[in-house]
Amino acid sequence: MQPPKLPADSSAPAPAGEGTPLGAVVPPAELTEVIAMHRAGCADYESWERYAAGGCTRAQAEAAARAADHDDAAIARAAELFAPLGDEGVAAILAALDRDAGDRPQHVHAEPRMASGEVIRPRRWMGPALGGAVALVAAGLVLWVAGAPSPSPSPLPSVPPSPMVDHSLDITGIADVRGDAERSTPSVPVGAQLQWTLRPSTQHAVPTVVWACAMRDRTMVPLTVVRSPTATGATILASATLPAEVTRGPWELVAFASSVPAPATGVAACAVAPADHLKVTRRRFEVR
Amino acid sequence: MASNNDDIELVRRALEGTRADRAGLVRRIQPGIHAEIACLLMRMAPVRGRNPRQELEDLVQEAFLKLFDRDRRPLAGWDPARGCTLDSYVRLIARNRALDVLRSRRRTPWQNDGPETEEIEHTGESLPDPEDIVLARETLATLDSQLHELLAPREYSLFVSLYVEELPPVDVAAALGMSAAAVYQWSSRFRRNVLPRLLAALDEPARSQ
Repeated sequence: MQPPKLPADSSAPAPAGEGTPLGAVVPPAELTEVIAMHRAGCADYESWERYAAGGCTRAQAEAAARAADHDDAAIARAAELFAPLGDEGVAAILAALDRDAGDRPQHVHAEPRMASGEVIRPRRWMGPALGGAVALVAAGLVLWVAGAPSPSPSPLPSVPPSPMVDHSLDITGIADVRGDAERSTPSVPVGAQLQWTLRPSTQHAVPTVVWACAMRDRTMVPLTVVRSPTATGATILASATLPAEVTRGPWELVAFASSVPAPATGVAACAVAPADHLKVTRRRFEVR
Repeated sequence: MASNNDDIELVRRALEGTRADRAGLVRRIQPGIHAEIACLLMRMAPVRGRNPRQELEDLVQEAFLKLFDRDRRPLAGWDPARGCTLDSYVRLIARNRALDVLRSRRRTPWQNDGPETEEIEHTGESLPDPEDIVLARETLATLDSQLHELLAPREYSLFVSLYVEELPPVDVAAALGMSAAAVYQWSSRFRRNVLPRLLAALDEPARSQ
C-alpha cells in the first residue's frame, strides 16, 4: 500500500487567522493531497446517498458503484446500509425522541420580565381574596395537625441513583439462533430460549439490574430473565424462554440495564424511559 | 433541496412546536444523517455478531437524541447566517455522536485493522479493479486508521469538518459544543503536535516499500 507523497517539513507557520477567532481555518499545506483523497472518498458514496434520500433506485446506485469499480462485497454492504429508512425508521426516531423527552423535565417558560421601575399595585379584589386564602390554609393546617399520626422519623434525603454506562446488546446462541448475524436478523423458533449479552462500554463498579421485554408494534411482553452470575461491570450473559404471547413474526428484544431495581413490574417495566441510571438497548429478532 | 429560509422555519417550529413539527424536521434531515452514518460505517470493518443495519439505525437514533438533547441546545445552535447549511450542521453533529458511540464499543473499528480487513482486501485483489483506484481506497483506509489512532473522536470530527469540508469554525464550535477559541486552539495544537506524527506515520509504509 502506497501512501500519498508528502513533504517531510511540517514546520510551516500557522496561517493568518490561526489562533484568533476571526477567519476560516486554513488546512495544513502538507495535507493537501490527503485532504483531496478524503474528499474523493466521500464522493465515492454520492450515488448511495441519493439512494438513501430516495433520489434514485437501488439498481441505479449499484450501477454507479460498479462503474466506479467497487467490488461486490462493498456494493452489498452499501446497499444494506444506505437502504432508505422509510416511514418505519422515522417513526422509530420519533418514538425514541418521545421516550427521551418523557424522561426529561419539560421546558419552563419564564414569565415576561417587568419593565424596570414598574410598580405592582394590588387590585381591589386582592385584599379580601388573600385574607380568605390565608384563613383557609390556617384552618387546614390546624385540622391536619390534629389528625396527624404520631411523629415518625423523617425520611432520609433522596440519593440520586448511580449513573449506568452504555451497554451494547447482542443476541447470541448456537442451537436456536439461526442466520448470519452480519446479514440478517437472528431467528428463533416459537417458545425457544433467547440468549443475549449486554456488554458495558467501559469497566464500572456499579451493580447492574437487568430486565427485558419483547416488543412488537404496541405489544410489550415482559420476559423472565435468567442471568448468569458475572462480576460487577463485566459483560452480562442473560437468557429468557419466549412466552406463548411472543408469536411468529418480527420482534424486538429490549434490554434494560439499571443501577436500581425496575421501578415497575409486568408490562409497565417495558415502558420505562431511559435515564442516566438506566440504559435501554434494542435488537430485532424473528420468531419462526 | 429546501432553502435556508424553509429550514429556519422548520427548525424554529421543531424547537417550539408540537410533535408534528418535530416530525417535519426529522423527515427533512433524516436522509442526510442516515447517509453520514452509513458512510462512516462503510469505512469500518464489520463486527461479527452485530447486524450492521441495526447498528446504523441505532446510531441514527443516537444522532437525533443528541440534536434534541439538553433543551435542544445542539439544534438551536444552528445559525445559517454563519454560512453552514442545516444539512452540513446536523451531519457534523451526527458524525461526532456516532464516533463517540463507536469508539466506546470497539477497540479498533477501522477497516485497516483486524482480520475482516484482510478479507476485504483479498476480495478486492481478486477483482480486476484498476490499480490506482484500489490504491487510492487503500490509502484512504490507511489514512483513516492513522487519524483515528492519533485523534480522539471529537478531534477527528474537527479534522474532517474544518479541513476536509472547510465548514466555518464558528459552526463547528456550535455543533460540537465548544467555544470558537477552542476550535482555533485545537487547529494550532494539531499543527504543532499531531501533524508531524501523522506525516511520519503516513510516510513509514512508503519507506518500507
